[in-house]
Amino acid sequence: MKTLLVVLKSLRENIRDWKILSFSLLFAPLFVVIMYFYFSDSGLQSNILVVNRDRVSSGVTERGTAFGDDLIEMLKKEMNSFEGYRVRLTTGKDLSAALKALNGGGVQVVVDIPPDFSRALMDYPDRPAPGPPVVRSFGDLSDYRYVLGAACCDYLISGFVDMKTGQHRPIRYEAVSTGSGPSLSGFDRYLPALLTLSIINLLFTAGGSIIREKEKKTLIRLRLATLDYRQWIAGVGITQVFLGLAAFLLTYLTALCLGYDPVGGLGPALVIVVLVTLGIVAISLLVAAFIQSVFDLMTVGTLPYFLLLFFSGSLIPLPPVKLIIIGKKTLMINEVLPTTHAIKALSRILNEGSGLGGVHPEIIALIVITVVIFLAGGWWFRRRHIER
Amino acid sequence: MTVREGEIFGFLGPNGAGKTTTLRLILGLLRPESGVVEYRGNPDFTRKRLWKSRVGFCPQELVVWDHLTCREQLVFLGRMYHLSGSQARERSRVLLRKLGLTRHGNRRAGILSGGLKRRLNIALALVHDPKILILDEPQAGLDPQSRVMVREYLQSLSGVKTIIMTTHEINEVDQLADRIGIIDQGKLIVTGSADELKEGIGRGDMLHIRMDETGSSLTRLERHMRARNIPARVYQGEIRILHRELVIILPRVLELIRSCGGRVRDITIRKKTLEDVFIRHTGRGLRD
Repeated sequence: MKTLLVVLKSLRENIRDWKILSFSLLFAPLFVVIMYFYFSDSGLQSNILVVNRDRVSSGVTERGTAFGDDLIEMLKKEMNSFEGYRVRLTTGKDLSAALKALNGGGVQVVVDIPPDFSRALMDYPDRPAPGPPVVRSFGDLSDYRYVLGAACCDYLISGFVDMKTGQHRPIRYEAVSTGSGPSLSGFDRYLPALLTLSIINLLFTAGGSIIREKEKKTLIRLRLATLDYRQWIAGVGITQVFLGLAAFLLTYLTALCLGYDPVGGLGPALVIVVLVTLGIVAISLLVAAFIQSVFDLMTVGTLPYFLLLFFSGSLIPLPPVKLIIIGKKTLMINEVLPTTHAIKALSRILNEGSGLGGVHPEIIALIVITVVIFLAGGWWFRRRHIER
Repeated sequence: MTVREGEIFGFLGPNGAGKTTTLRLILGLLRPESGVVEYRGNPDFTRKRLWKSRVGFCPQELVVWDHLTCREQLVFLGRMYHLSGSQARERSRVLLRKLGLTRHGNRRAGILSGGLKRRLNIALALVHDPKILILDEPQAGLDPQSRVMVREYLQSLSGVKTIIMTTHEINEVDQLADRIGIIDQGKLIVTGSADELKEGIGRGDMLHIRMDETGSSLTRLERHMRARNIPARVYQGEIRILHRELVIILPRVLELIRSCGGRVRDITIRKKTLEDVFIRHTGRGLRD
C-alpha cells in the first residue's frame, strides 16, 4: 500500500517537474527524427570491400599480368559514376577478415577476386579453364545496399572482362547471400539503440526522484513515517517503469511515423523496456549515493549518462573497450552496462522477429547486472544518506 | 532531563549548543554514544516503530515536497502513518484551517511564501495526531502574523500533547514553555519554569548602564563596584546590575562612576529575562 502511495506521489512530482520530464521523454523521439533524416540522406551509399586474391601471371608485360589490380583500379574509377549512388570502396587480401567485417556491418558488399582470375583471362579463349573463374559477391540479399552494390559490380566487372577478352561472360559472377533477415536500412539497424536512448534519459528523472528526497530532507519525514527503504525504492522504480514505457512508446511511435516497419512484436520489446528501466533506476540509485542534490545530478550525473550513451552504442557506437580478463573470457566495458544487452535484445526482437526465448541470454544478463547494481547502489545509498 | 506528559518544554541554547542533536536522539534518528532516551521508563522504546507513530517532528528546515500541493502532501503523509484516505483528508482539512492555510490548500508548496511553508512544515508534523510533538526552531523565519498564529496554535495544544521545542528566541520560549532547559556546548545547564529560572539568578530587576568608557576602564569599574558589594557585571560594553532595591543603590552607583571619572551615556531598568539567566550560567549571551 505504501509503495502504491509512493508511486502516485512520485508520478505527480515527475509530471509537475516538467522540464526534466520533457527532456527525458522528448530527447529520444527528437533524435529519431534527426537520425532518420541523416540516414535517408545517405541512403544510396554502400561500403564495398574488394578482396583481391588474384595471383600475378607471367606474360604480357615483363612484370607479369595482374588483372585483379586493373579491375580494382577500374572499379575505383567507375563505381561512383552512377548518378545518385555513392560507393566507398576499400580493398583487402583476406577473405575471412572481409566476411567478418561484413557480419559486423562495416561493409555491405564483399567482392572476392579469385586467385586464378588473371590466368583465366590470359588463357581465354585459347586454353579455357575447365570451369570459368568465379567472382563472388557476398552480402545480405535483403539489404538494398548490397543488392545495388553487387549489381553495379557485376555490370562493371562484366564490362572489364569483355574489354580484356573480347568475349561475353568468360567468367562467372555469383552472388552469395550471407543474410537471412528482412530488409534493413541503416536507420532500422540503428533504431534499437535509439529506443534504448529513450530509457537512458530516465537517469535524470529517476535520479531526481531519489536525490530530491535527500536534498529536501523529506527522507526524514518518510523515515519517521516508518516507510521502509525498499518500499520507497520500489515506488520510485515502478514510477520510472511507467515513464520508461511512455518514453519508449513515444520514440517507437515516432519511428513508425517515419516508416519504420518492425518484424517482431511489441510485447516482448516492452518486457525488455521494463527490465532496462529497472537497470537505469539501479544506476540512478548508485549515482544518487555519491551526490547531494539535483544540481549535482545534472552536472556530475552526466558522466554516467555519457558512459551509457557511448559505451552501449545508444548515441555514437564506440568500439568495445576491455574491462577485465577473467580466465579466457575478456569482459568488455560495454558488457557490464544493462543498455548494451537491451539494444541487442531489442534488435533481435524488432528487426529479426525473435521472441523472448530468442533473447534469453540478454534477459539473463539484464537481470543479473540490474540486481548487482541495485545491491551496490542500495548499500552505498543507505550508508551515505540514511544511516549517516 | 525529564519532560512531563502534556507540558511544553522549551530547549534554549545558542547555535551549535546541541539542541537539534538532542532532538534527533529523542526521535531515534541518532543513537546516543552514552546515556539513554526513555519513554515511560522504557529505554528501547524510541527504536520501535510504535514510537515513530507517537511522535511528530517539525525540522528546523522547510521540509516540504515542493511539487505537491499543501493538501496532497498532508494526505500523503497521513496515509504513510496508516490513516485511511478519509481520515487523512479530514485531518489535512482541519490542520489547513487551524494553521490558516485553507486558502492555499491546492497550491504547490514550492510557490508558497516562507511563512506559509513554515506553517505547512508544522502541519506535516501534526498530520497523524501524535502524542508528542517535537519542534526544532518552529518560529524561525516567521512573519509577525504567522508567529502569533503558530504561538496560539501551540498554546492550544498545551495539556493535550507533550511538546518539546528548541529555540533561541527568548520571548517565544518565555511565553510558550511550561518548563525550560538551558543547554550549552552539549550540556544541560539548568531546567525549570521561566519564573524559577529567573528567580534562580537572584531577586530584583536589571539595571543597564551604558558609558563612554570601554574595555579595561569598565572592568576596573566593575571591580570597584564589587568591592562595595554591588553585584555588577560587564557585558557587551555596558555594566549590568541585578538588585532587589535598584532605586536605593542607584545613587551609590552613579557616585562611584563619577568618582572614577566615568561618563554615563544612558541608564535602563528592566525585568529579568531568560537571556540574563543564560548569561549568568554561561558567562555569555545566546547570540555570542
